[in-house]
Amino acid sequence: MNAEGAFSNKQLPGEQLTPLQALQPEPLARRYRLLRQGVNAGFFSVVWLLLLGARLQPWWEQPPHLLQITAHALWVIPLLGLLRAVYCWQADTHKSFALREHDISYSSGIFFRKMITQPVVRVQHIELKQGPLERKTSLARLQLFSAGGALHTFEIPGLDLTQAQQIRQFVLQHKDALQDEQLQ
Amino acid sequence: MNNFNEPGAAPIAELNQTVSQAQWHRVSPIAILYFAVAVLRFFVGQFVYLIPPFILLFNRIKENPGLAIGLLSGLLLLTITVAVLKYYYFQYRLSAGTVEIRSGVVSKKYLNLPFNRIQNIKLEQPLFYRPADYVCLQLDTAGSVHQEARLVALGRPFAESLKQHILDLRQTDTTAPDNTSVEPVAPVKASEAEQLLNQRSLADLVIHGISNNRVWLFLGLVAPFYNQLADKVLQLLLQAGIDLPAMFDPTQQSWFVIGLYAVSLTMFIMLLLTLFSILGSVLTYYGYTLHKKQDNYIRRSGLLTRHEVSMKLSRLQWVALKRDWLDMLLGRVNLSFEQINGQQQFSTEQKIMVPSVTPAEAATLLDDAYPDNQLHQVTFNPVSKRFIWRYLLLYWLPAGVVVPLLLWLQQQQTLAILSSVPLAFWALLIVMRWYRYGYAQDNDYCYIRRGYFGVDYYCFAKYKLQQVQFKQSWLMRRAGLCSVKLVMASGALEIPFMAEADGRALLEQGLYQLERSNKAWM
Repeated sequence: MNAEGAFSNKQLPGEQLTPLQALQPEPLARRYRLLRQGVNAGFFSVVWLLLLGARLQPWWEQPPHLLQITAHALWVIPLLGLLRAVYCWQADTHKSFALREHDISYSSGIFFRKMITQPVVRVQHIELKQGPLERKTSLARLQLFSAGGALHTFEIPGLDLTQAQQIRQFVLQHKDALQDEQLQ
Repeated sequence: MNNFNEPGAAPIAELNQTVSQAQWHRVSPIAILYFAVAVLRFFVGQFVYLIPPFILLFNRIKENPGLAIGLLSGLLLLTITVAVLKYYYFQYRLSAGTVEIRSGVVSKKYLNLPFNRIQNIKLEQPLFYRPADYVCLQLDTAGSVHQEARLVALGRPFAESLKQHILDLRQTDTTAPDNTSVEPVAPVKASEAEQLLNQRSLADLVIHGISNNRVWLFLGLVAPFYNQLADKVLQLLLQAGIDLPAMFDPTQQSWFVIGLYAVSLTMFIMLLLTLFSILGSVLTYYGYTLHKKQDNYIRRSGLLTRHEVSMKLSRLQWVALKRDWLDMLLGRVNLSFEQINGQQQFSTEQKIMVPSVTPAEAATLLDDAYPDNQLHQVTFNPVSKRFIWRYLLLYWLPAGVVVPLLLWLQQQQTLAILSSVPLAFWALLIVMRWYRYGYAQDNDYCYIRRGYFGVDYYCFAKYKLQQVQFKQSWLMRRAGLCSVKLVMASGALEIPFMAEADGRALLEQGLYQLERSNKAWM
């Protein structure tokens, strides 16, 4: 098995080490950010429209305090949507991943930065997940499972489908990967 | 009682057969008893919430015993029928490299388990198996709980030789691909003697019972009976000339005497609870021995049901030395060898715990598992004092302001002042947590110290890491600090507020070790 031939995405050749700190982060697909914005906008619009519909419907009378609440909600909800859109945009621009020869790292977080590093040797199995919207936009989530338990599943969201497949291939063809599988 | 392997346990002829040649077998008929107990346990587990109404109806039942007897005998008959059927349909077949089990009365279950997938082998001997020396052989896989195989009721010599066969097979299996790498493994001698590593005396178990109060479990079990119990106890006391309600009646006694009574009553209850806890400890760990055979650790213990757990040394993820404050006072340590923790709820069964050993014994055991560890020589680095500030400002201060203020505003001045006691204790806990946190590393191992009043040490080989996490907030970055989470198959350990350079070095070296060494983690 030749990992280099399948996927040449090294940070540095040979056995020389690149410290985690010096990794060049690769951003997630731009479509992922746009998709999240779209979903966010869609969700809040639906809630807003439902509320508007409930307020304007002529069939049954509403008590005055309920009318007051809906009046406030009609401006609070778009505001929340806007705040969430800004937050998501910022959060998504801070998500990135990086590959070294023997491990994959994923960083996220605006104020509380977090970087998870998953060594390829310890990967037990891999899943590539696509929801309906992700399928439409040919995005994918890559999940790497280790023996660390379900709580510590390593996930990179918003990858370009071909890129996700390449990473999966890289992990599967890694000369050390899945060596424990037959022992289980 | 003979707990040791018979060295010359006869080889099992069937293990050389192919699947088509192998025959299906039933286990010994004593298994009926085993299944009956299991069924009864199931009933009790299902209907435990029916016990309180049942007790309330007790008087009604006393008036009408015929119905109760009919109901009980019906239940008994059902249990026996189910047990016999379960026994009848339980069959197993051994062939080269696999064990197959067919079971189930209504819904049939078929399990095929190759020996090389077996992670753990446990021998369990309930009380009623002891006269004829039968055991229940339990084979665990790393996968889900539903994949575990139980061969109920095998004769001990047969079970022992089967176990040995599986262990030997695993040994040759796992060493075969490794032959090219570092460790040349000597050919396995089938009948190597067991080496006794540790043994717990009754006195040790009593100490364990005192320092590790597991009585809450017991209290939870008897919860439905509290009212009845209290009434009975009061009646008994009254007969003995002690009138508790009168003793605590402020119209009859002075406050000082009531206080004295209260203190002595509390002491008495505490004593009682401790006694129960000691009883629990003795039940679980009676006759505790830890043996080492080749690379396997074997733990045997239990007063009623004897448990035998074996673990291969290579499956060991970390060694934990835990002491709470009472252990510190009594000079004892609870040492546990922890391995893969796939299902959280079975973690206690999976690890090998050595209860209440002395620090010197703990050091010997640790050195035996990790000969080149330096836990007792390393100096631990403390974590930053910002740890205290973070928890004080983020959680303690808001609660410390809001709770007394609210109480004060509601005219509960005494309560408001009294609330400073738990608050002060909480603050003390935060400071102690910071004081106990420490980390150190050498070339191969990483050491973590933590705790509140007691202190726990964790020691693990770096190549056992599964995943690492590096966390840093904006404020921590400015102060050159970070938090690090180390994920292993037995769980995750976190070191908060350590120096950034140390954290990065720790992760870098850990990853280097595990990626370079190519050693299997299990």
